[in-house]
Amino acid sequence: MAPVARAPRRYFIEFNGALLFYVAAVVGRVYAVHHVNDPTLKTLILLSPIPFVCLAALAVVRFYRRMDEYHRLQMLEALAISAGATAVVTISWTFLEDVGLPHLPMFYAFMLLIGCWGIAALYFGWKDKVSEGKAFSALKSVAATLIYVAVGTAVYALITGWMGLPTPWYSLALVASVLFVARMGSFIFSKKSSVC
Amino acid sequence: MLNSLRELRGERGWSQADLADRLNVSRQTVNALETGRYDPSLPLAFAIAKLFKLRIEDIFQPS
Repeated sequence: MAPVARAPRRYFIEFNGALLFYVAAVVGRVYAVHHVNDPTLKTLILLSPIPFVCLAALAVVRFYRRMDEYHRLQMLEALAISAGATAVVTISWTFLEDVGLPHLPMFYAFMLLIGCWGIAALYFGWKDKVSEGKAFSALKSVAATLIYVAVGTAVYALITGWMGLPTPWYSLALVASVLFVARMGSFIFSKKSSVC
Repeated sequence: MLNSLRELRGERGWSQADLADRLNVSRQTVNALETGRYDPSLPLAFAIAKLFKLRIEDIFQPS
C-alpha cells in the first residue's frame, strides 16, 4: 500500500487519540477544580486541555502533509470556503448585535470555521464519489458521517449529563464540529478499487 | 488538458488503485486525472511519464 493510502487511518488514530485525551482533560478539570486547593496544581489542571488541542492541530498538519496534491487542493478549497462563510457570518453578526442579537465570544467563530470546513470537505468527498457514478456510496458516506457526529455528540451529552456537568448548546456544537473534522479522512478518501 | 491515462492503464491491465499505488497518490486522484477534473503538477506529470516510459506530451495534450 502506498504511503498516501495510509494517511486517513493514521489521521483517524492520531486525531481521535488527541480528542479522547482532550475530552478526558475537559471533563476531569471541571470535576477536579472543586476538589483541589493547591493553586499551582489547580492552574495546571485548568490548563491541562491545551496540550491536547496542540496535538489535535498537529494531527491535522501531519494529515495534510501525507496527502497527495489533489486532496491537498481539495482541503485548501474547503478551508477557503469555510473562511469565507465564517467572514460573512461573523461580520453580519457584528451588525446584528446592534439590533438585539447577543454578543458572543470569539470562540464561536472558531466553531463556525471548523464546522464549515468539515461540511465543505464532506461536499468535496461526495462530489468525487458522484463523479465516479457512485451516488449510492456517496449517500452512504454522508449518512455514516452524520450518524458518527450525531452519536458522538449524544454520547458526550450523556456523559456530561451523568456527571451532573452543564451541557450548553455551544459545547455540543463544538463537539459536533470537532467530530466532523475527525471524520474528514474517511469521507474524502475512498479505498474501494475501480477498474473502469 | 486531455490525457490518455485511462487507455495506457487499460493496456497494462491495471486498476485505478494499482496505478495510484505506483504513483503514490490516492485512487480518487487517478480518477480525477482520467476524467479531466484535475490537471497534475509538473512533478506528478513527470512521474506518470516515467512510469509509462513516455514523454509528457505523449500522455497529456492541450484541450
